[in-house]
Amino acid sequence: MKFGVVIFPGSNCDRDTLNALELVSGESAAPIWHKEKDLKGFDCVVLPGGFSYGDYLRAGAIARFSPVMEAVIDFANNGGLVIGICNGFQILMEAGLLPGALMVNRDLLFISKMVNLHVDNSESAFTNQYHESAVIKMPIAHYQGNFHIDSEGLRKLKENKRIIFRYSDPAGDPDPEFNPNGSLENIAGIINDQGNVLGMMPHFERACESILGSDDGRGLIKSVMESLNK
Amino acid sequence: MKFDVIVSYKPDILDPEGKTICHSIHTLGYEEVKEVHSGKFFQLEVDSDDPQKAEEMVREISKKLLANPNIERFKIKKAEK
Repeated sequence: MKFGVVIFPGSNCDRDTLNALELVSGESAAPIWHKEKDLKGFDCVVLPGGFSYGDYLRAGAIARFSPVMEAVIDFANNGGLVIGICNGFQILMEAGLLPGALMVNRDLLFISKMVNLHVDNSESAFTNQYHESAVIKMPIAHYQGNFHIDSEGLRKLKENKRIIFRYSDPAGDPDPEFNPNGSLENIAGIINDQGNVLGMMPHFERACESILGSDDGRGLIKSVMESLNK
Repeated sequence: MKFDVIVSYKPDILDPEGKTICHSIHTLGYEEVKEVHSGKFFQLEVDSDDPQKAEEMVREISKKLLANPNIERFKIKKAEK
């Protein structure tokens, strides 16, 4: 089993993501430079957090056209597992692999804190190791995490159970008071129709060791391994 | 030839930057300003003899890159010399 983490100019969470993947899975995780056009041998590709191309124009807008993205899109279209974390989520949206848009946070502040997430769908390739309706803790750190989608898009997300994580209170209720950035319906993470592409704003790679405040991120990596082992 | 492209949020999208700027304008005492919409400005200098083709190209670029069609719209104007 091989994990790959794409590095764009300006990505800065790649090291943490590689470390977390290796630590939890015990499998190999390798960096993929953004100019790489061949993803052969990888079972799961992760687009990490950071500020690719300085967030110039729009977060993820320029990374979307990096040479590696054609291979990532092919990989996803062929059923490969792809995860976009924070800036990675933004890039997946710009690339059309996930719907909607991520706008500036409601309060116009960069928010860096631990949040509670309700696992809305614990049957996906990325969450099958979490209990149904689990409430997990992970840190967020972003300025543009305000998830927006039109009403038709929201209806489709709900219909096909594509909402994976929601910001919630400690009991798991998606209370607007616990919405850090104004995201529509507290949405923090979604998957595509096929169920093989996940985009999420929280940093699971920073929640894999309890010394950092939470190791709830381990479940996500274990879920991916379970999916790949099938 | 030069083309000015202005990218702004679609009317039904919340524009927190615009609202914040409007609030600041009120703090300065200009209460008559009712609304502010913020956007981005790009100027593309194009090497071409055909203004129509050039504008078509700028339109394509605006659709593919400069604006996010989910939440933004754009306006193209041939720049004054």
